[in-house]
Amino acid sequence: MTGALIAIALLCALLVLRVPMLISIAAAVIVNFYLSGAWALTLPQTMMSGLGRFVLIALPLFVLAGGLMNAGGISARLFEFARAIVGSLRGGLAHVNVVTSMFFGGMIGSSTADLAGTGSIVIPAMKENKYPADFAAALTASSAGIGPMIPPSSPMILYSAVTGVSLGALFLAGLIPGLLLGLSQMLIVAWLARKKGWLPYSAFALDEVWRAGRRAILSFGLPVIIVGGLVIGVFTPSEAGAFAVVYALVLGLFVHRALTFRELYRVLVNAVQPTGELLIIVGLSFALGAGLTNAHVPDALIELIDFVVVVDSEYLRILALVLLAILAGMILDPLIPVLLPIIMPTLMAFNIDLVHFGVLMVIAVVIGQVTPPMAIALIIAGKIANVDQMHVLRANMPFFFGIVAFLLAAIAVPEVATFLPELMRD
Amino acid sequence: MTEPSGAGSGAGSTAGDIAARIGEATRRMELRDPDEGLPLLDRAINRSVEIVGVSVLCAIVAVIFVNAVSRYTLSYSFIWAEEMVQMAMPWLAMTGVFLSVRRGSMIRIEFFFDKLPLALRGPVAKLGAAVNIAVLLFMGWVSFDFVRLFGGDVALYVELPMGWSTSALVFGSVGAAMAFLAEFYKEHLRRGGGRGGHGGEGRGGGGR
Repeated sequence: MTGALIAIALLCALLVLRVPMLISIAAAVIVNFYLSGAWALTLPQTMMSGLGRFVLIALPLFVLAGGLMNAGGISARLFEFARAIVGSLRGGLAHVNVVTSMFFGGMIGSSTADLAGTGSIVIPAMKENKYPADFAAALTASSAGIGPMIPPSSPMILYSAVTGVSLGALFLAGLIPGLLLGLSQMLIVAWLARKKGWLPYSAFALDEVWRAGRRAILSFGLPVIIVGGLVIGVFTPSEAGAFAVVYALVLGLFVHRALTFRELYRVLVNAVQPTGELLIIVGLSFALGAGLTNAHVPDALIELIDFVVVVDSEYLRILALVLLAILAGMILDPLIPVLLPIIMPTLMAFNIDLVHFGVLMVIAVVIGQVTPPMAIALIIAGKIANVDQMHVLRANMPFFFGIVAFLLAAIAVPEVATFLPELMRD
Repeated sequence: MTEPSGAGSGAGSTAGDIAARIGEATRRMELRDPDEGLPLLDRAINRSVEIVGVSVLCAIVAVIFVNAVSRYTLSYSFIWAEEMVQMAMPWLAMTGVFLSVRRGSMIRIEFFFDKLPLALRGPVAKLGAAVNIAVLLFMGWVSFDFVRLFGGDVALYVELPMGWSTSALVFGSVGAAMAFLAEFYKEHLRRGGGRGGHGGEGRGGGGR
């Protein structure tokens, strides 16, 4: 146990000292193995076993499919479609921002791509349209968080790889919460729009919805292939990823003709680089998890939770674990491969529904992106809007309380997440 | 807070313009070349590793796609497909790690480092660089031992020695350690002998 605690302390110290996460985890694993007298070769062995998880192969494939869609210029089509649908509401451009993020989530699965790409134009556009800059940044940062909830979602692939939960079930489980989260943000925008007297962005015209919808419709084929294929059981996750890549490729090269073969190479490289590092982090997290389990760290965590949660309530235990995830998520990104191997045995011991908890973990990831000290989404959005971080943080308060309330509701009503997977199972 | 634009005749064209700019911005972000402006040798090194990674990724997509299509159209599966893809994964992962180190874009936490007094940042960065190199070299060493002991085991369906796959851990770890070392050395030269430098942080800082 002492060795494990030293390893955890070393991991935290190295992360604080700006050592890359991959190296920090590797150092913690090495020290833990050394202090517990484990065989050094356990490190490459457990890494290989982690990398060998077949569901992990879906990660670079979904990232590649998203990159191809992005390079194929789908964001313009999605924005146009979102404008045609909700641009006529009060505070239209803010609504369009949220709905574009919901659409984008179904294609890309990463909030950073949405934020850095779409946000770089939408935030200045909102400023031009006289929305307060801090509000524009806060809304864009918060709405980008919808992406990881809606399939295909990178955090969910990581969760599936670490826990072994069906990716199809997780994707389905995230669908309703993702849509509800988007809806809750639109309600906040509607409330603010009424209070501040914001006007619509454009007039509603059915033929415009039809025209924009026709231009965007093929883009929606991607989530349909992925979710549909996984849910019906036609594809394994990696096959869904490969079909998504081929679909996005055909769309970009031959249908939209927005992509050249030269550009294709760049998209491929941009998929290899970030996912490669993430894959090794997952591989190492298996080694870390194995070491900490051998040192009975999960047992200590179970005792701690039982000590803190005095009432025998599953909801309170889930709440305690989610709070732990939120605290860790304020600093760690990616959170799931680092934290989950540590708390996984605890989840099993308390008999917590892993699909339900998977959705809660993703919400914790999203909250971490807008909560200091890291608040990466707020920082990026604040830089784009050229406003002080504190102002963005203040402007984000309605959305922050909104997502926290949403999280509490999702804990209290697990059916929000489990309804669709159970329906499909039946 | 004042009024955003109304639903006037000009709003449509503005929206179209915004949509076009969004499309262009996301394309630009996706197609950016991170090696722009680098010396030829650095570009060549990165390009050669990129080609390995891209080839592996293309092969993975092709094998999985063809296997799935064949299963549904010809009722025939390639029994070696899954194993082959699993064997390719370490190469995909390690090329990604190497490129991340070379481009200074590894996932790390910048927040606390930025709060350190300026005088401390140089030594802390050097300590971090030393840790990076030591850990990666150790990983390379144990991975080499692993390949030496078990690399000869033959994969069940692909019928290739597992060393073809596991050696990626050796090449990747040692390559990344060398990349850190080169960056550290370059930074040392740039700072004129390391006075107050942030050695080994890589090009562009890159934290997320």
